Amino acid sequence: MRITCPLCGARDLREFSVTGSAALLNRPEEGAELPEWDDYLHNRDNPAGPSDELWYHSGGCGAWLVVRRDTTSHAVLDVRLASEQKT
Amino acid sequence: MGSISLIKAPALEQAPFEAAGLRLEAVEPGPVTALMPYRGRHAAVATALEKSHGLGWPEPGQVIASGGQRIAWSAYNTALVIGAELPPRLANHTAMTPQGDGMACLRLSGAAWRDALARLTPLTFEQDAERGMLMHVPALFLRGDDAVEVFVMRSMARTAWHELQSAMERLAGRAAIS
Repeated sequence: MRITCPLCGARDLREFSVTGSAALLNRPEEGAELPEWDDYLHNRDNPAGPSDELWYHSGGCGAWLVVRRDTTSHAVLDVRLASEQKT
Repeated sequence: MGSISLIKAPALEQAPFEAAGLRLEAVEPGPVTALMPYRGRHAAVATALEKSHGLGWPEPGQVIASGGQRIAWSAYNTALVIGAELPPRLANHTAMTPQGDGMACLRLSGAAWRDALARLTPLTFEQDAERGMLMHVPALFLRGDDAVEVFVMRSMARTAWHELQSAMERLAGRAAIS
């Protein structure tokens, strides 16, 4: 599996580590209700198909990436910088 | 900004090593400063560096050189200024971290430097500055015509040297039997 880092180009899977769902980018606002935090921290969809994940390019540029990946085929569909996705 | 030196001994004291038509040596790159511009200030940093040193802000994979001074892309939102003292007022636009003795630079020269590195990293060196792994050592590779400079953290400098020397020895061994 290769991930095309927007900064470094196509790189081997071993340069990256995965953190989990990109839902982590959507942090609740300050003062949000507990159920919202519960959702943010614990509750995840488990889709069979395209799924947005957070990956860290530890063996390269050190950027956080949002990788859209098909969990049934491992095909990488899209890679973006998390910093650009967030704003 | 003055250079900071907390450690007296150089990171590498090995004599230059030669094998397979290649030469490996530790080099002193001069002052190295990491710049991480504040949000939206990249243009200001580029302008200031252009004015003071004839440099600019590098795109990913890019190195801008002027005289003996360079700025090399080195990571996400980060570039290393090599061989130049920077005016303190640049800190209005960017975080500036002098690397002092924290970084070691190994220079591998000779036409076949890519063959030696092919044993240590999957990188193909299509850009002037690339981040990657030298075996398990995180490294910044700055490509030249007949040489590559490998910047590693000081704590891993001897490991990086050992890996490069071993690769050169094996390259020479392979050439001797074929």
